[in-house]
Amino acid sequence: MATWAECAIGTILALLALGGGVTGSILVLLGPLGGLHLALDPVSALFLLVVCGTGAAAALECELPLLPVAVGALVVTLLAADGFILVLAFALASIALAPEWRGRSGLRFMAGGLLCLAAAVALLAPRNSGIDLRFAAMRSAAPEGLRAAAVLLLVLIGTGLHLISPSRPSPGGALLSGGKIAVAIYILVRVLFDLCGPAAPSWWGLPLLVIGAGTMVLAGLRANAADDLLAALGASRIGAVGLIAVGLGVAMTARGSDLASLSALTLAGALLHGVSYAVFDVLLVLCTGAVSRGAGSAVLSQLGGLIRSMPAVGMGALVGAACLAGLPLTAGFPGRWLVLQSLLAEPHPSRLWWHVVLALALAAVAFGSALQAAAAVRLVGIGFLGRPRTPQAAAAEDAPRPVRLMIAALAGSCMLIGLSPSALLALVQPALAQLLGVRLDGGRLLVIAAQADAPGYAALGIAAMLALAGGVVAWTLRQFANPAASRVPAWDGGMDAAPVGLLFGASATQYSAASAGLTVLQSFGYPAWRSNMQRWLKVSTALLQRRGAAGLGGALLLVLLGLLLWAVA
Amino acid sequence: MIALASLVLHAALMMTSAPLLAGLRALARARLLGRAGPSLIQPWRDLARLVRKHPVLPDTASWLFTCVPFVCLAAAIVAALLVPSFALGMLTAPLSDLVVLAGLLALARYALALAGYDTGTGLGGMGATRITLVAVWGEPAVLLIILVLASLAGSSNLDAIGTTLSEQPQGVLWFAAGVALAIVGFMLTGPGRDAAQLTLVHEAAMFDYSGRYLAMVAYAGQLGILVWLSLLAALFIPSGMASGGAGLMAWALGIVAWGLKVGALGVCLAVLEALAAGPGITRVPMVLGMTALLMWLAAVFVLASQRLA
Amino acid sequence: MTIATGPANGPAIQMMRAGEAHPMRPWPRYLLTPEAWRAMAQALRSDPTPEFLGLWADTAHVHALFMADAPLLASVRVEAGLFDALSPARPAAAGFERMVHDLWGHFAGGGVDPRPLLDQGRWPVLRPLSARPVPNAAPPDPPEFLGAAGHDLHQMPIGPIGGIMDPVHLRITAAGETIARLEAGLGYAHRGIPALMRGKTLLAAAPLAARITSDSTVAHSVAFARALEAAADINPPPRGHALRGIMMELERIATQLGDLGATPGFLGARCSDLREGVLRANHAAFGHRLLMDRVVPGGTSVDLTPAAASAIPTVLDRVASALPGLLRGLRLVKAMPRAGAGRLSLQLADIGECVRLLRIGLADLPPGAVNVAIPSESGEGLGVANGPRGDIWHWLQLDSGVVAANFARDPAWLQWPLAEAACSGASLSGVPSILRSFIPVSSGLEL
Repeated sequence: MATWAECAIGTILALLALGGGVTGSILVLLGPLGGLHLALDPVSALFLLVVCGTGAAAALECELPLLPVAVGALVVTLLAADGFILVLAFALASIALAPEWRGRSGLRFMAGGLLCLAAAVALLAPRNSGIDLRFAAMRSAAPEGLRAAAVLLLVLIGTGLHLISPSRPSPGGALLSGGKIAVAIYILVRVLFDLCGPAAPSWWGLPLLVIGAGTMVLAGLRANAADDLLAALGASRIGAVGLIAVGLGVAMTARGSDLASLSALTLAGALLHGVSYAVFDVLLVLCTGAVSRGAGSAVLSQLGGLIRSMPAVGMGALVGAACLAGLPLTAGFPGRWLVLQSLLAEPHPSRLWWHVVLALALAAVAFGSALQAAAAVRLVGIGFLGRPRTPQAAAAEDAPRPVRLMIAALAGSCMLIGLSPSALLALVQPALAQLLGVRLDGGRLLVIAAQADAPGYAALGIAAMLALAGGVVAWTLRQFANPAASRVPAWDGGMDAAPVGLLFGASATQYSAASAGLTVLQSFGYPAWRSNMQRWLKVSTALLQRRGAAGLGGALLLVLLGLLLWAVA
Repeated sequence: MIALASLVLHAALMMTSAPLLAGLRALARARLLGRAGPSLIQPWRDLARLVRKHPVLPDTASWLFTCVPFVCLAAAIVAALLVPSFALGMLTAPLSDLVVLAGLLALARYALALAGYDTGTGLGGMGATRITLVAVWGEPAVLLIILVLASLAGSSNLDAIGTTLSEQPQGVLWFAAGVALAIVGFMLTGPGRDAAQLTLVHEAAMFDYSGRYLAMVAYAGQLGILVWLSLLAALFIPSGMASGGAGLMAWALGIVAWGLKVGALGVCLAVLEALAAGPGITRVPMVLGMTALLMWLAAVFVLASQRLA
Repeated sequence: MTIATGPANGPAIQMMRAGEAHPMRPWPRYLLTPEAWRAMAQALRSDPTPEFLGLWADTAHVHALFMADAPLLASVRVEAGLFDALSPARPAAAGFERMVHDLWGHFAGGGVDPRPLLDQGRWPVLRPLSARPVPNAAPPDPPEFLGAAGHDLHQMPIGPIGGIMDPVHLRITAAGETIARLEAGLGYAHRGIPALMRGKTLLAAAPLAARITSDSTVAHSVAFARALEAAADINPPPRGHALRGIMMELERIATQLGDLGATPGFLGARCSDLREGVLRANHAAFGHRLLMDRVVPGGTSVDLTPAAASAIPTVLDRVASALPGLLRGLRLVKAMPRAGAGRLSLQLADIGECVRLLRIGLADLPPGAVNVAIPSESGEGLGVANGPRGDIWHWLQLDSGVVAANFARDPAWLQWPLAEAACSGASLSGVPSILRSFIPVSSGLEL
């Protein structure tokens, strides 16, 4: 209940800020380190929407005792207007989520990440008048040179550690980790676009771009290799973070090269993708929760045929997977389309390395999206279609009414976003204006486009044409076609149907989850890189687990180095 | 008004000629292999026959199975309406973004893959997985081709690219993109061949369709091939195409030119099919990956030469 | 014909030759006691020399055919429906043992595979060739497949209707596109030819032998005729003998071209076209396109027609001149897995050799009659012919001119296990070309 109240308050605040432009300080407590400040601006409002949505869904799924504290701390992180509160609230949220960590490596990831963030905040604070951690003070004294590079490195490591920290494989954990990922991205945006000021050099986008592109491909492969729904969704979530990172990187470099409109285009794409991804990610995680309760498992090889035994959940998963696949007219398309447009658009920074990296990023985005789509098709095709693979899947019951309603509402919003992305773009525009000083001028009523007068993506127009074409086909068939149809056992080359007593005896003749993933993975040379990957994983886990102290020590060393730089520069 | 008229004429042309193109391919292939071959309108007769038949559906399939043919066909029809045939400046010109077009064809493809999984048979699942496998390698190649075209023309809108092209002729990279599009289209559409069950891709996923549903899926496949060949014709052999506000005479010329171009491409396709058995599914990723790599190099070259100049 | 290498007097061979020699022609048959048979089966495990060719039965005995320096047929009397299995020592025997149980009801004790092979539970009687067949009313059991162990593999059922080549059910267990095991479910082409032949006169039985496999009909007829001629102890006249050779080479050319004709594209079309020419020449020269029933016990049923003098050389010239082009075309078919392409080029080389042999054979054809009459005698004979796909063996027991027991061993018996083994580890889409390169014709096996 407390969580829902928090989420409701947060959502109202966010809508007020985005709709009416009610922004500004909420709370100021004077004290040490420049005082404690909470404030609301369009950027935090946008992320507030996402976090409150995921938090509310998590309250439905999860019986974590400290859930209100965790969600509250995440909300406060977003509202923080000084570095102290930002790090403190984020640390509190991480601690409250402790039962969701997997093993002790979660603790190390979190501790290392927080240390790096704290060091970055410390480096950002201006040094002239004591230690002032207020955002306003940081904006006025943007870091330069080595100090700026150290901030970038620390923020990337800090948020990165939070992004990849493993969590317990439960639907609630997945939702909360989704919320945490949103906050980590918020910190990235806040620090790199806002606090570091508009004068960041253009190469700043490069690390983000490269990391994001690599992440997309690896996460896509991982999503195809995953053998349960939650793991596949988790990998896809990381893939979406990759796309957002690519967008942020391009936006960063464009801003550094004084190409404000290109920067706005890309950032709009990244933020739009983030917000819409959050919607269908929550939808898919709720469906997964319903499946693991209804069918007793979320492991793909034990599911099958759920669309008939759980119609509402199946429908929700179908909509969610279509979005995940990034098909046109779904919520997954407009953000990706905008990011792609920014890679295709003119003018661009005129540097050769930039174009090489850009083309590489486009290829990575393309492969990542296609792998994501393959994973989405496999998810629905194996999990929800075909024949049940276990008696539990055959006897699965649909989700209870509240969950069904929530799924319906989320699926509806996915369709709305898909059909009129301009509405969602309108929510993103204030944040763009705040961060870059410009709005995306291609966001028209029915069309989103790269420039104000260029042809673009008209979702409603395409949808109308599709509906018209479908209608014409249906009408033609009514006129000419044989209206009958009958159900028979699927043709199996003349073999007999499975005997009556053997309900699942022939289920081995159905395509399997592992085979569907392997076919795609094998084309990427799977058995060869698996062994290398395992060796690498072993080394890195050893570093993280057995040499945990070394990892923490490394983070500490980085912090000390940062402080040293701060003192010297 | 002219835009609407040209759209209606274009729609009629595309809808009628897609099965004719399939007939032409079958006829040309049979002639090349020393047989008499079927009539040119045989695909139309087959469609009519299928539509009148009583369809049977697998009892393991859900409602999705009967929806997929509508999705496939609607997406293919919309794609066909977005690609110009004989004239630019149709009513749908502002909508015809290349990324959206690729997305629509992907929609049809993935819908068919879901239908393959929905039958619950080994063959259907194999076809579905192969569709996604081809898509995983084909779609990046398509996006890289779009990148090259869009960088050369300054827009990813098909009509804008066509207009730019008719105003200024393009060089060797344009030709390379055309070849790449031809290869990728060949792999993605996977034109039907007389092959054994285990080598099928799309046909395996649609194996359990019958009657009107099979007619719809087959017609969607024929439209997909026509869309691909028309796209090749419009982008890479634009001669004869009427511009936005041209008169009836230019339209007539455009229609004749389009028919000749698409027919010639269809015959080329038949020769290709007759020459080789087509690469096995295990080699498709390699071919598509090579194409994507070449297009990536072309993209770097285009970007470097255009944007640095 | 396969020729065994190595010493021809290993322990197993000596044990077989120690048995009681039966007067089978042209080679004697050795009847072993069950104990000697068991010792021989044991000795085979460590003795690779006698090459296993086949195993079959009659109502009271089980016969195993081996190849040492000469064909070696060993028999054992079946006691209480049991005999000792050879499959632990010779894996290829497993299929024969399953078939022996299906048809005669003799169970192979200690065999590696007890599942039925031909009998899918739909025959009106069980064990149709045994002394006392049992009526069968029980509903058929679902077929049992071995599958393969592994995480979440899937099975793909292909056929028997609309399958890859023959009416065979293929059950493929695979991980993704990689095959873990391919199993053939047989029995769909079973016509009961041994049962039909039993009790038939010689001239009535010959057409049945000719219909075992249509594209090896001449070779089957020749093997059958040789077995019969051996049992009756006669020889065909020289001209009949030479004509048989010509027909066998013509059949070999037509069959190889037919196999190549299944290759998609230009190459296949060209080969089918050439095969049609050969078949027409067959019809012109012998009066039947597939040369069916042209070979009869005692010689051949027809002599060359006058048209043959021009028809056969013309078609041979056509084939010979097309061969280099086909070889080039084969190199173009890069899409084929290497094993399949290699086999196809061997087949092309084989066609060239056939053409050479045919030209020699046609050049000096001996004059005279084409057949002799067969006396109605009793006896036992073993005949062999080199068919287009491998060696074909026919075994016959005659009882005053009537077939008492018989068996035909087609090369498909040994090719099916090979094809199954070659498919494991291959990719799914490679199966058609692998099967096409082995051509395990199921009708030859299913009798």
